[in-house]
Amino acid sequence: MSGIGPMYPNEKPENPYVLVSYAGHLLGNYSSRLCAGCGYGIIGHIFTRLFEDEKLDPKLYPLVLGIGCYSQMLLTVHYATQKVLSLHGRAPALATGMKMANPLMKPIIFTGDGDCLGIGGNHFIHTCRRNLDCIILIFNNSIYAMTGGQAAPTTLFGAKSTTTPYKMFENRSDGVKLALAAGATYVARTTVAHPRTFMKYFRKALKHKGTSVIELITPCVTYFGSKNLNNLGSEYLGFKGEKMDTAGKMIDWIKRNSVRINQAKFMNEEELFNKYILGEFRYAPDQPEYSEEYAKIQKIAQGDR
Amino acid sequence: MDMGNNKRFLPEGKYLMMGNIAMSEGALAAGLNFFGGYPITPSTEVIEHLAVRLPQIGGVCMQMEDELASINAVIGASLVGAKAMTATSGPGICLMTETISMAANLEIPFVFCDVQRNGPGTGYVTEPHHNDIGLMRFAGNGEFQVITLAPMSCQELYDLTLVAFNFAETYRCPVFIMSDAYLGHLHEVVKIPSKEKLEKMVIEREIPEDITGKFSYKDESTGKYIIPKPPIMGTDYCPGMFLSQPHSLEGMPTPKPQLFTEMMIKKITSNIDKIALTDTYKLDDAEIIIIAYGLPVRASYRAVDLARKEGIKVGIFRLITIWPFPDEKVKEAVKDAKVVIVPELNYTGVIAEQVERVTDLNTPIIRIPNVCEIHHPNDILKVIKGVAK
Amino acid sequence: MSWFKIPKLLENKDKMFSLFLNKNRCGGCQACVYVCPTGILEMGDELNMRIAYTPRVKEGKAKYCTACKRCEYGCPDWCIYILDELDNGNVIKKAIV
Repeated sequence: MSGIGPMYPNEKPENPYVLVSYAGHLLGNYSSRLCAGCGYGIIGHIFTRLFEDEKLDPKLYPLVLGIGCYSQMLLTVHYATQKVLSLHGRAPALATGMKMANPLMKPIIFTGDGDCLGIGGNHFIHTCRRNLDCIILIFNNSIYAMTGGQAAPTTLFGAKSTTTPYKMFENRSDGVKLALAAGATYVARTTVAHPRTFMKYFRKALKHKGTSVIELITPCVTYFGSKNLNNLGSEYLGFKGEKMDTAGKMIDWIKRNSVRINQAKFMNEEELFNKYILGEFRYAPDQPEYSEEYAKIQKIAQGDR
Repeated sequence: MDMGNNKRFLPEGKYLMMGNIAMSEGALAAGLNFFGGYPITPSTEVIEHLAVRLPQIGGVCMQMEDELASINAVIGASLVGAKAMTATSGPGICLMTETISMAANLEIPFVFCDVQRNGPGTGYVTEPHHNDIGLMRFAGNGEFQVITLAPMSCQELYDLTLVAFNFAETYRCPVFIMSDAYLGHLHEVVKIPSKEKLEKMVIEREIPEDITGKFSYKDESTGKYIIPKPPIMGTDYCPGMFLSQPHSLEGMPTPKPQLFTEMMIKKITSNIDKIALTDTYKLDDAEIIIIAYGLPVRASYRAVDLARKEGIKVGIFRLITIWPFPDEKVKEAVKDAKVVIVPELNYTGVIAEQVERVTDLNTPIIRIPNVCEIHHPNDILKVIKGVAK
Repeated sequence: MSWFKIPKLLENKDKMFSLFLNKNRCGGCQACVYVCPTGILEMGDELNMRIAYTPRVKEGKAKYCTACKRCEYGCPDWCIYILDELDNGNVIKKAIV
């Protein structure tokens, strides 16, 4: 099974959540092909922990993944989950078909920033508009990492990547604003450095009936961090930055570059320009949900009113 | 899904139906549960009719935001155990090719109806033009085989849709039904059999009783590749992950992709006797043979009758299955012929090229191309008489 | 494979928990160092099997660990973790904090 990743010696006592991951269940040890310090290792751990602690039924919560570096999570998360790897950007459309054919399920969709806001923007808008009962997790590392570090729609202004070698000069797109405009009913954003907040939002989304969109800011050390400086987002302060070549420095930068939603009300536009705003943006329970409205149509068509 | 409703089957009898509607009713009789589509001329009547009928029997009909979303929703529904279908035209297939290739790799069954119109580009949307035949065979990257059926009347649109769903369940590959703008809008009498007869003809999607161990593609007794029943997500009969990459006989990623490509192609070519459907008309003593499919067959029947009255020995070999092309049957049928005539509703003669591939170099093959106009029997009769001298 | 014992970075006998670190699998990304709220971790001097430096606890600071588990949640290789201990390190029971 060299397809999973390099294997290091089995030792005791092992982290209990390693033994319920896919490789751990098969071989007794954790392994993956992710870079050292990749944010998706952190997210895989938190997701496996949630799946095990909440005792979610794998038949009711299928995972639908898009294409990107997080596709590796097929091989690192809980062994009992049922997963589908779909095409680049088409994960929300596939989940729509699954949910309407079996209304008892609640798909959990893993997408990335280029996958959801670039090529898959159309499907994302319409899934939010229909308020389909699913959870969409957007992993935002502001780069296309799988193919070698190209610029993404969410790359910060002034950053360097392989297709913007001078500097990035486009307006960046905002997943939270798009979801709010399209009509999603639970929208939130947090980072990988606040794992307990993410667990709280995810538990709320599991109980919420409607589309939940949670955006996670994750570090990509190999392609984004090692080419950009520490002062990205705070140039107006005027200090000379250094390269972020380890995950620790990049997580530190993420924490200093983000503001809470209540803080952001008092800051002007120049300060908010390249920052990440964290918090819950909308929570609207009891809105009409798509599969329930369709069930009402079926009742009308079958003649009982 | 609520399947216990008896409004699914129309009462037995004769009905005057349009082609598109006959195809929708055939799909309903075959067990359709999910339809995802996008309106495009000339196949809009399919989604309009199913939007009325599918909620009546507890199914789902969704109009998605574009063709890409429709085919992805169809694949998602088929993964969860529903029988699913979509209907579109030429520009729609061009958009859907990537997903067709993903479904061919994962071996997910679904049915696809192409109501062809003039091309390339936007074209005249209400004129028939059999120009998607090559596209249906080679839609999508990668090497795989598809099944394509070509009906010629509304009754056949009803019957062959049932056959298409059965082929999809048995062979787990994309199945195309080839219709066109005139055939889809033709009104004819369709005879619908009784509910009991229809239920016997349909292959259901169900979980096999004896599931033990892991999901695999290996026949335990012979060690060879079998086509297992399609897995259903949300039940125990499912491999842990669906990854559209080559897999071995045990369902694990394989270091030898050639074995996987061989499995994908051989599962259709080794069963070609059961898949290739053909029909003949007055072929026993024929010296001139007409090979046709779809709409031109109707004119050929009349031309053959007129020619036989004058004593010319001519017959028809009709192709119902176009892909996979039935090499052996065509070779057998034309081995005594002097001339072969292939009337087609396109200019390049796609099937005439295939016929040329399998026949003798000495047998001349004459094409009768016609773009956007159906053949008149006198056109074919003129060619027959010209050859018979 | 021979079964080594995973080294303990620190042990707190009053509250009955220990901090374990799997040195071989650690990638040296320094996430745990920057995330710890009491700042008791620092990078060490020796290279492991993955040719990376692994963390260690600063001198005399072991008593400040509160078992908040931020290092455990923040590790991308699932290497550093807090466990309860009831006998010689062979029992696995999660620490409840």
